[in-house]
Parts: sequence; C-alpha cells; structure tokens
Amino acid sequence: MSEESSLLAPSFLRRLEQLEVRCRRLVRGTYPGGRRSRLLGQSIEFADYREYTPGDDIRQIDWYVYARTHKWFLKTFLDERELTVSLYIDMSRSMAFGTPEKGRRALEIAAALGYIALNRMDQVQVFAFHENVRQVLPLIRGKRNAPLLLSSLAQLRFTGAGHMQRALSQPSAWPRTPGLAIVLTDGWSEGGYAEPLACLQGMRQQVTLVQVTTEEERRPNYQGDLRLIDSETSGYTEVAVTPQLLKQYRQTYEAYTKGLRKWCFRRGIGYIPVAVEEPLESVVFTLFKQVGLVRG
Amino acid sequence: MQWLQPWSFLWAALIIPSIIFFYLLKRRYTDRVIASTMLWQRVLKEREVTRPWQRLNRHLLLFLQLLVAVLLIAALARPALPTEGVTTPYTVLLMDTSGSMLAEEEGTTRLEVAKKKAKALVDSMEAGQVMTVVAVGAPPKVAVAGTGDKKKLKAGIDALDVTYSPGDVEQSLSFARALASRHGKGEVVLISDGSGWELKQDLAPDRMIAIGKNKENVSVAGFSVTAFGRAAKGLARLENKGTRPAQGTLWLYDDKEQVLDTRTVQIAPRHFETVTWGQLPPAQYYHVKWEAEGRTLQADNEGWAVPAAPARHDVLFISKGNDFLEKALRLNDRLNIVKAVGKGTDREKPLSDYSFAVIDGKETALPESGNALIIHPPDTFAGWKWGKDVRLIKAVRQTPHPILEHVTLEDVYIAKARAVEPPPGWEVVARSGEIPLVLVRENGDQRLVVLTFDLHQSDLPLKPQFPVFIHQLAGWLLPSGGSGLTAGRIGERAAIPVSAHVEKVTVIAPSGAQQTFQPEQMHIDYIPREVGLHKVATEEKGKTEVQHFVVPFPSEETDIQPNANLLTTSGSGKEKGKAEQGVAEVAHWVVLAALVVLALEWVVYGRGY
Repeated sequence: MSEESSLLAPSFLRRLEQLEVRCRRLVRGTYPGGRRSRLLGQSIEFADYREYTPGDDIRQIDWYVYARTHKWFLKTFLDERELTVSLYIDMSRSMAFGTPEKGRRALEIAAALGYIALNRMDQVQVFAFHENVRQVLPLIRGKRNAPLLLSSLAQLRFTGAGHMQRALSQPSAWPRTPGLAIVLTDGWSEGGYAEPLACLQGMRQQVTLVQVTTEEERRPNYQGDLRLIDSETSGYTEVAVTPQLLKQYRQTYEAYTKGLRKWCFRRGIGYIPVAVEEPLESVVFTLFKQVGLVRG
Repeated sequence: MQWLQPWSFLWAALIIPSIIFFYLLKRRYTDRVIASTMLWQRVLKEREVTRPWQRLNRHLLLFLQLLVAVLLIAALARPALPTEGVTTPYTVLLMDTSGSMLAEEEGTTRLEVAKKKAKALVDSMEAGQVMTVVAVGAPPKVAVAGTGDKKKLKAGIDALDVTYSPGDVEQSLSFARALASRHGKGEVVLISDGSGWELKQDLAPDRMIAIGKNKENVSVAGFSVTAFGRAAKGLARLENKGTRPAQGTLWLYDDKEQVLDTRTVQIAPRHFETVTWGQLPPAQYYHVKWEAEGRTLQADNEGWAVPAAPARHDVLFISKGNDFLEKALRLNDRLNIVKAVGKGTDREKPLSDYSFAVIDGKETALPESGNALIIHPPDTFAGWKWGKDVRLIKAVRQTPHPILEHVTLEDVYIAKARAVEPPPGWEVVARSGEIPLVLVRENGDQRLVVLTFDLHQSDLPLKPQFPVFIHQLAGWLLPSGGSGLTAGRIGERAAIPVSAHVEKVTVIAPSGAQQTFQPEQMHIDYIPREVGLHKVATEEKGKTEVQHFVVPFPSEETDIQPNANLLTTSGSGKEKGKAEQGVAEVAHWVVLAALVVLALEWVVYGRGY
C-alpha cells in the first residue's frame, strides 16, 4: 500500500470516488455495469416497443398494450454495461524529465483515471509502450482491484527510446472490446502520432491524448553554445543559443501543438495538454472536467 | 585600389588558419541532455532552409575574428587609392629639363606644360605637406628646397629653364629617392616626357606625370666644315626621328647670315640624309637651318660649324731654292710643303686652297685670296713704289707683333733691303731707318707678310731664332690658328686653349650672356649652358681677337617621342591613368574598420552569440 499511497494520497482517492469517466459513445461491454449500453437489456430505463416474434421472452410482453390493440408488443429496456478503459503510458526515457517528472505525472493521471473507472465498475487495462508495447495490467474491474492497479503503475520505469507509431501499431496493443483509450505521452515521437491514434480509433476506441510537457520544453531558457543531447537516441544537436533562436523555438513549439490539436479535432480525438508543473488535483478536477473526460 | 605591399597577404596563409584552429580549440559546447531534440532539429532545419545565412550565425564570432584578421592583413598590404594630388607629407618633384622638353605641344613647349602640371600639384598640397623641386640634370639641381610655401615653390618652378643636356636621370632619381627616404613617407614624382629614358625598377619614381604627344622631328644631327686652305667643304646630316616621311628646305648661311645655298631634302622615317657642299667661300663660321612644315622641336633645326683645320696644312712653296727657309718650315709637323716648279704655275689648286703660300722673289702680283709670305719681291710687285736695294746702315727697330714674339731682329745683319713706300693698310713691324723690313697686313680673312730683304743677304737664317721666327710666321698665317676649339658639348667642361699672354677671355653665349675669365693657364675651363654659336673674345695687349665655337644640340634629345611607359613603383606606366595619378594610402581607414569590427565582435560576444 506504500507504493499506492506514494502515487496517490488516500484522501485524493476518496475525492476521486465522486468522479466518473465520461464516454461519449454507448458502450458495448460483456458484463453488466453501470453504463448505458447500445444493447437492450434489463435495466429499468425504457427503450422502445417492438412486435413479438416467436422465441421472445413472453414475460416482456406489455399486456396493457395487448389489451388495447390485441397485438403482442414487447417492451424493451436499455441494457447497462461496463466501460473498458485502456490506459497507454509512454515509458520512454524522455518521460523522466521535468520537475516533477513527466512520467510521474503521467502515472498519477493514469492511476487517478483507472481508480475512477474501477470505482464505477468499469474495466481497466494498462499498456506501457516505448519502442514496443506490453500489457502491464490485464483487464480488471471492481474497486477491489484498485491496489493492483496502483502497484502495477508504481513499478513502471522510464527507460529506452520511444516510438509510439511502431509500438501502438502492434496488434497486441489493441483492446479487444470497444471502449475508452487514453494515451499519456509527452508527444516527442519521431514516428509521429497520427497513425497509432488512428489505429486505436479503428479498434472502436474513443481516444484521448494527454500530452504532458515541461516548462523547459515549452519555453526553454538556454544560453551559450549547447550540445543538446537527445535522452532517447543520444544523438545531439549543437546550437549557439540566441534570443532569436529561442523565439523561433517557441514559435515552432506552438505550431507543433497547434497542428496536433487540429489533427485530433478533425479525427474526433480528445486532446488534453497537461503542464507537468500544474498540480494533479487541478488537472483531474478542473482540466479533465472542463474537457469532459470526467464528470462528477 | 592598389596594394603597395601585396606580399603581406602571405600573412593570411598563416594567420587565418591559426584563428580557425584556435577557434575550434576554444569553442566548447556545453552538453545538455534534454528529453528530445526533435523540435530543436526542426527549428534548425527550418532556420537553414528559410534563411541560409543563418547557418553562418552559429560561427558569427569566428567570422568576425576572421574579418578583423583580414582587415589587419589588408592594412599591412598598404591599400591605396589613386589620387591626383599630393599624397604624402613629403614629396620630391623631379622636373625634366632636358632638351626634348623644348618640343612644342599645342602651341607651347613641353616644359611649360610640365610647369603647369607641377603648379597644379603644388596647388593640391595641404597644410603640413612639404615639397622639394629638383631639376633633372648631371648633377641634379635642387630648384626649391623642402618647403610648404606654395608661392616659393611656384616661383622656383617658373624659374626652371631647359638645360639641353640629357641629364643623368638615374643619378637624379637616386638623389630624389635619398631625399624622400630621409623624410620617411616620401613620394618621388617625375614630370617628364620620358624620351630616351630607360629606368631600372629600383630607381623608378613613385609616380610619373607624362608630358607630350608629338613624335615627329627632323634634326640637324651634324654639321661640320673642314677648311682646305682658303676653301672649305661642308657636310650636314639630317635625321628624321619621326614616324612619317619629312620634307623641308635646308638653308646654308655664312657668318654674315648671307644665304650660300638652299637644298630641298626628303627624309624617310627613322632615316637620315647627308647634304654636302664642295666649295664654300671662306667664313669664320657657317650656319644651317632646317625649315619644314609643322613645328616640333626648333632648337635642333639649326647647326653651326666653325671650319676645322685639317691635321696638316698644305703650304705652297715657290722658290728658286731656299734650303734654310724650307728646312725651317719642315720643322713644323703641321705643315705639308708643296713645292712649285718654275714660276709656280703648275699648281693644280688655286692659291686659296693652300693654307698659305711662301713666295720667294717670284710673284709680281699680290695674291687675291689666301695668306702668303712674300720674300724680297721683284720691284714690280703689286704696283708698289719700290726703290732699289739699299745697304742698311741704321739699326733695326721692331714693333710688337705675334710674328716677332721672342724674336729680336736688332742684332741681325741684313746687307740690303728694297726700299718701298708701303701702301695704306700695311703695317711695318720692323724697319731700319725709313726702310721697311717686315710688312704685315690683315685684311679680313687674308693675312700677308712681306719681307723686303733677301734671306740670302742676311745672317738671319743662321740665327737660332730663325726657326722660331718662321714658326710664328706660319702660326700667324695658318687660317685656323685661333683657339683650336671648334665644338663643345652642352653641360660638359670645355677647355678653351689660350696663348700665354692673353689677359682676358670673354665667352659670349648665344643669348648674349657673358662670362669673363682671367686665364692663369694655357686654357680656360668653360661649361656651356646654351646650345648654339659661342663667341670667344680674347684680349691681348689691347687687341681683341674673336673666335667661335659651337655647342650642338645634344643628339640624345632629338628623339622627342614621348615615353609614358617608364616604370613606376605603382606599376608600369602602360596603365597611364594610374601612373599619372598618385596613390593615397588608406591603411589607417582599414585599421579603423578593423577596430569597429573588433568592437562589434565584443558586443556579439557579450550578447552570448
């Protein structure tokens, strides 16, 4: 429980229980859950009438309608199913930068979202990717599995070079059931983000990209002659830093994020930029609420 | 832009690689590990694509350092810009005053054009600049010593006159270079037509202002007259140093400026023609003048010649036989005795063709021309009132005369002499009582001596002074028995021989300038400064004798073709524009630019580029 508590404070967990992960589409889960399903089921929420056909459960015939029309109509109700929330966490070395580390903040966010989902009887599974992808946590459900989620996340380490495109293009990374896919990354992937996110969409996932960035990445304040070494590839770029160069970098950063946001909007993908310096509470309770990722 | 020390650029080969080497050594990048360089690479790539020069921005400091180095090296190479005016604190202005500067250019002489340009140069002087004006010559003559006073400089330039002499340009340039180097940054400017000059590189002036365009000139390259007795032969040599054929008239004058002959002469370019005259009437000097269309150099169109005596003089000796006299004459190496047979009628040449004649008691007529010594003539001679031979009883008295120098006839025994009443014009220089013994006459060019006694009737031939007497007689009768100098050379010392008793010698130049000498030796040293006919007046015992000698125009100066291609330190004069212009060094501006760039580099460094 120490690792759980080191990731999320118990008081914070209690506050999370008030929240629910929002999913814009109707879910189509295997097990009954707390969410409205596309399927008709046995919930108390009326859906529609339809004519009886042989084989239907006669217990669902609405006898009041038969009394008025002498025709057998079935009264159908909406089914309630669980939501499958797939958390994809970028485990590349670049996530180990920032104060606090981007990776730490990504794990906290994943833990919070996972906890919220488990609390609402949704299924949660966790994938970690850098160049490849691996399932850190198989589908779990129920609040009782929350410690397992937190401990699994706490054990993750950020090493190696990342390649989101290559990793998320692997079938092993694809959820088998439709649901909500939340990708937590800093977005610095050589291969780009378009293909893997589109891939997840193709797997009937409502995709949300959470980009965690540091102030150093957004507004670097370097001076002098620097050999900038890439933490993942160890490749370097020599720059004589000038005010003009810094200005141009900021412009390039803005253009990059703007392009990312625009692309996500067109694709129906949620895009949430998160500054690592922003408190977690603010991110979850304010930012995520604003963008509609959670409600409560 | 010119580089006065272009070899200084060799420093670049050493300095620039050194700067690059040390820059590479010095330039250290600080390693900084960041999450991803993806965006940085994108920024740099975009920067280089949109603004390729931004690639240089990375090494701005290096480029600024290289620029400073290049500027400093350029300053070492002494960059200079062409300029018309005086460019250095000290200038030595060499003025060509040789004869070719008398050539005419557009209505005036080259010297006047040169003076104009020199004065323009003086006008361009700024405060603090000093100039020395030196006339090219041998030796070079300082016309105005280093001064910044423009008035003084212009006056000095105006006072310059042609020296005719070719001058020693190398000596002058060497002198000017020495003057210039004494003042550190000095410039040697030569104003000249460059005619006939070839310069060595180490003596080349810094700048040459070329004068003159005219190439055509015909000169009287030589004119000489040789006397043969009373006759003379003349030879004139005309030379066309131009590039076009020339045609003109050659006029020959005698000493009274009477025209003796005219010839029309055609001369091919770069060729010469000779004109000869066989029988010229006697004259103290002759004068030729070339006249043709087109005025170029006038000074060399005239020539004078004083008849030169031949090495040996033919002396006609008419006598029945006078061994003493003949032997005394033969003692003189300059005399060639030509004996006439009989009455002397077999002589092939007229009497005037001989230097003089010795007529011993034969002729009855006075020679119309030519000098002669007549000894004891017959009583019909010349229609004079002759008496009979009379015995001399009175002592011989003599009056001073050149023929009686160192001769005393008073103790000479003369048995008989023919009495005669001398006609007017004759001077009796020795007599015994009323009977003349020696009569002399100088009538223009003709000199005559008559001895009224027979040498056989006297012991004079037995006296030791007889050869002296005959020698002096011959010396007086020889037509060119004057100074012996007929031609000199401009600017060079001429030794004019004078006899021991000459008290005063006055040399009168063609311009009328006189120079008087009190000779202490048997010659006077005279340096002619003018071209043309000089008169030499010698005074001896109150008597003045005038002779002439000629200073011809120096042949080196007759080729007036301008040579603007003289070497200058700033390159060959072929680049005429450049050679005429001076160069103003701009090294200090380049150093200033280097300092500015250095300051800029400091700013750039301070701003962290």
